[in-house]
Amino acid sequence: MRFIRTPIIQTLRKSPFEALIDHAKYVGDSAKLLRKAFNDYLNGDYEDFDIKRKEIEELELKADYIKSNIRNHLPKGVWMPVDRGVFLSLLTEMDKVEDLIQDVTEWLYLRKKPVPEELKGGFEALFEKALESIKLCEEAIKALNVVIESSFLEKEREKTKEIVHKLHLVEHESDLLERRLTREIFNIEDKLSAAALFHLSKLVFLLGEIANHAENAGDRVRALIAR
Amino acid sequence: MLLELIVILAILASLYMSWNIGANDVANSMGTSVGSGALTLRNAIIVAVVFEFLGAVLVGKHVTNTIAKGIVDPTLIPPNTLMVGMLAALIGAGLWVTIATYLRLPVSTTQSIVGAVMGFAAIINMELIHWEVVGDIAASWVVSPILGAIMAYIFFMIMRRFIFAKDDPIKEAKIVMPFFIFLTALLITMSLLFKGLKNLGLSLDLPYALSISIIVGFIAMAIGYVLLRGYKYTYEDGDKYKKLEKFFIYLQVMTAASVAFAHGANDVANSVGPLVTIVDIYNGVPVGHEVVIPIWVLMLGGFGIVIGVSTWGYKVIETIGHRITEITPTRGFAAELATAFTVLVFSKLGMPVSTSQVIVGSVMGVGFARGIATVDYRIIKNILLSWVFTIPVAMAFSAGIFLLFKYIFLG
Repeated sequence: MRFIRTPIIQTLRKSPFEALIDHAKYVGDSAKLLRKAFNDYLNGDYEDFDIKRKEIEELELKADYIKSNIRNHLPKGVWMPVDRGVFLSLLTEMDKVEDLIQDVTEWLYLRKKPVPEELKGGFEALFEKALESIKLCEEAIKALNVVIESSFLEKEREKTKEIVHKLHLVEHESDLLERRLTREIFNIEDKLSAAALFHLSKLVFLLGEIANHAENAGDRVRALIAR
Repeated sequence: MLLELIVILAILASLYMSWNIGANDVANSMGTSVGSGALTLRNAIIVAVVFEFLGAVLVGKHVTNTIAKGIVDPTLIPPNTLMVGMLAALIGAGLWVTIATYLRLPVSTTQSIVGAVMGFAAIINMELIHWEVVGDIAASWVVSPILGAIMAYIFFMIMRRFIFAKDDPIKEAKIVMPFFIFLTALLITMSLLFKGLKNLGLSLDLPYALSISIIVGFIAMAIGYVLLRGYKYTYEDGDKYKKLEKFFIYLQVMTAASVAFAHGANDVANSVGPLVTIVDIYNGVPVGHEVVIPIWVLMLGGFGIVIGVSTWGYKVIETIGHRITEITPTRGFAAELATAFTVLVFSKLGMPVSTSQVIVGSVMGVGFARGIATVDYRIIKNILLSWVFTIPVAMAFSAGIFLLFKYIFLG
């Protein structure tokens, strides 16, 4: 379209907040899949686990694509009603969460062995918490978009802050679960091989990291809507 | 015979310029409406065609007058030279706009024509240029986008306070919007009646024009109220603002039509201004008197714009409509209304402003109100660049062509 000379075309861009929601949706879907994949893993259903692992890999690629797209379309000089740097670091945190989900599945994939009966409950609870934190992240990002849609109305900001507050609580609970589960692992260390010990304790660590980065993302959301 | 040739060439050049204006600028008014789905492409073209034409014919005379006799003093130039000069200005401006567009330089037809008219005059004698008028025009280029920004900011803040902040925003919008409809109808009627076209009986004194406009405004408001009242909606979880945007889709049609009208009123002069001078000389209208703007010239300009809109404008709308999903109907409403108001006011003042730059200013105004997710402010640099570039280059083009034509036509 060489013969178009309308400056408005250069002024407006697609909302990166909508794109961020799409990104968060992929992260949320991956988290749900991860939760199911871990059930397959616990049940020794490694074939089904593998299918879900591959699905997560695909979701990660899609999320990555959105991430690059957002970054490439926010050059300096583009003005946003929020801090551009914080917005990009929110994206980074969400990306980190997605990466961690993939790390967990890959880590499980590397060693397909049954999880000791007495640890199953603890792991399930920790997976559940990680999923919960990601769901809250997704909610926070949707709420952030509503704040933008409403052009920063006080009441919408309050709603968003509430979600972030919940996210903090969940992260804290995840921390407690993480510590308790680690202790439980060491309680039965004599029954575990060195490999199992390493595998399981790193798994705990990775799951804890998911909630940590989800919390970071929440903090970024809060910083974005601060006056 | 030579005079006829000049008139015919001028008509062709003027048609080309109108075509170009219609083709490119229609997206300013209709792009967002098509993007948001308020209008189909076909309907957008129809709305644009009707309102551009009405604006051009009914309100186009003020700016046309400025271009035709405001920038250069026609009494000091021999009529034949003036004719050739205005022809050179038309062709020079058209050429520059085409080249600049091809090179993707941000260029305004308004600035091109103003520069071009100055260009040939400067070759004859710098003293011919009415510098105080040029100064006013230059000031209006700075003021108009800023005014657009301020108005859009205010409009959007009013909407935010009285509509967005409420628990049931659509219910409030149904009450607040008729007020905006009143304002729009008032302004458009005023622009038609106050110092309007004498030969159509559209030139009333301020008190009469104002009272009729207020009555028309109230009628429009009542119609708007009744129409909006029937709008059915239900909110679902967390989609209050999205539903509000949907509601505004229909209101945006009104603002889009207003922008088209204002654009026609201001920009038709860019193509027919010089033509008026040429036709007047050809018809033997004594220079120095009030220029006579034959209605057929305004209609020719309107016609050219309409052709531009319908032959090429749709391509531009399509391109833009898909790219600016970002400006949602509520934001578009505020920005377009501010643009229509600003451009119409400047049109009545006879100031040739750039509609594109005003709408960019208005969009920024909504941006300042934190209304838009991302605005590319780098455009400001482009606009400033266009100010620096367009005038001298358009002057040079026009001057060059003038020298050539002088040699050909006047020997």
